[in-house]
Amino acid sequence: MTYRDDSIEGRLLADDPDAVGTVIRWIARGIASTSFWVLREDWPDLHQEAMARVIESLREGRFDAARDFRSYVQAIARYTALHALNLRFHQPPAEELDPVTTGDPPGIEGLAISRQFARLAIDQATDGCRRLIQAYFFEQKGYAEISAAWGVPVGTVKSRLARCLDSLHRALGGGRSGRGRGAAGDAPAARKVHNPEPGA
Amino acid sequence: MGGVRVTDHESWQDEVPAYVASRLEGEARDRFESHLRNCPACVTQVATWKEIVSALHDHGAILFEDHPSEAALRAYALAREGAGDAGIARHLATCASCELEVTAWRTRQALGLRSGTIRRRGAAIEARGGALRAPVLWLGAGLMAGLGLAVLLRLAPTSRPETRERRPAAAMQPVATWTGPVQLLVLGSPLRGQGALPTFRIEPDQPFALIAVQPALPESAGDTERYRFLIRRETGEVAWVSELDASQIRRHLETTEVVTFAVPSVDLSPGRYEMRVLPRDRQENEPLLQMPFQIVP
Repeated sequence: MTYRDDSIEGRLLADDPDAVGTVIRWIARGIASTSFWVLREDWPDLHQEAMARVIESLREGRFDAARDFRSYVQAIARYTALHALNLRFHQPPAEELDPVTTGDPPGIEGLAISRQFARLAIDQATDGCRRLIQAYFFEQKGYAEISAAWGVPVGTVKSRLARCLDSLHRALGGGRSGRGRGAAGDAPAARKVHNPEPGA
Repeated sequence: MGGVRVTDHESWQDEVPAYVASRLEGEARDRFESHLRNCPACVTQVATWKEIVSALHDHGAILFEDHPSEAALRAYALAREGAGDAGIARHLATCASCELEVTAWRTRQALGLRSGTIRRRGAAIEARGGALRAPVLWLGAGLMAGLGLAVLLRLAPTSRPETRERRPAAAMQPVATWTGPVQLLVLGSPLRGQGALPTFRIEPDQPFALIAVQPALPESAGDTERYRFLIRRETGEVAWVSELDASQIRRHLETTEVVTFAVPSVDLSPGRYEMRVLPRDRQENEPLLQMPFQIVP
């Protein structure tokens, strides 16, 4: 299959900087996520691996131009990272140790990692959750203040914010100590805790 | 977990935001902490959010900013040392995803990558944080000039008996800080009577191997005809691949008599390999060059 010169696929193959930049961003968004947090040292390599797969795939005409190229690229990025994650989890446990999650003092690097983790968390939030988190935690507004500004009951603000934190925590794979298994891996366990059997 | 009821837990959940923001006080705080002692799920969630809230408190102004555009990040990544936008530098300190974009652009620039060139995993050298400023191809060109053709022709493949453990890729020296010599691995035609497999050893910390080949390009090959340079493992898996067009190959051969590539060492773990050069679009043709070799520890 050949791709139109003005399509993003065609422009990528022609090394158009804007198309390359767009695909670089799509891949970065797919790989630099909390789901693959444990792999962060390898992200640059994984990014390059994913880009190579995308290019190779286009060269061999495997991508159907009728489909959404962004989804295709991000699926390749996620596949590449998941493959690396599987390899990682087959290594001895010592390889997985993360100084930040094993009790070492945070230090400058630890704080930088915390900032990056916070950013990824915010990026994963819905617009509504993001605005609530910003108002409550950053702007230091109270429930009553947010309630008045948004025109919703205080109880709704409170429970909505709690639900945002809970769902994001699950999406983050149970936090950094979740070792990057991602929402899909941890959600069942989390649901068991939050919805125990009656009478348990 | 046994004592946690659905309704209890859900009601306690509503207190998590106030607790992690240190806004829960007095008896309410004591009761919540009492619940935490019996609820590992809440403990994990509180730990995660305390960390995030702390970062939001200190750096919220940056953390809630929009991401820079792709073009802005590209311009920043490709700017010379010291140049660039301070706002973007500040954003990168909090954004792993944008930092990854910058690294991808710098790696691409350092390796002279284009979409016509595929470099597999392992070639993304330590470009993060602006550490990489010495393009690999420049290194290769400098070494080529320094070594000269005489050295090139005399260079005998060596095999050292001692074994040293290879470090994982993450421990490889970035090119900018690599100060050791880089051996040129010449995959020329074996000398007459020399049946031994060309054998090379790559220093454990050496980030790249310089591999030189002498493909016999057909005179009829048009300048734009593309040729693929492949290194295959014994298993048939492609360890590394690159492409050049005929005019580029001719220019290499005219100036240095070889075509030289910087191949990431992580792609050349000890084992047997084969370098193949073949026309990209005429796969029915025989390879121009088919040269087995091995890397020893």
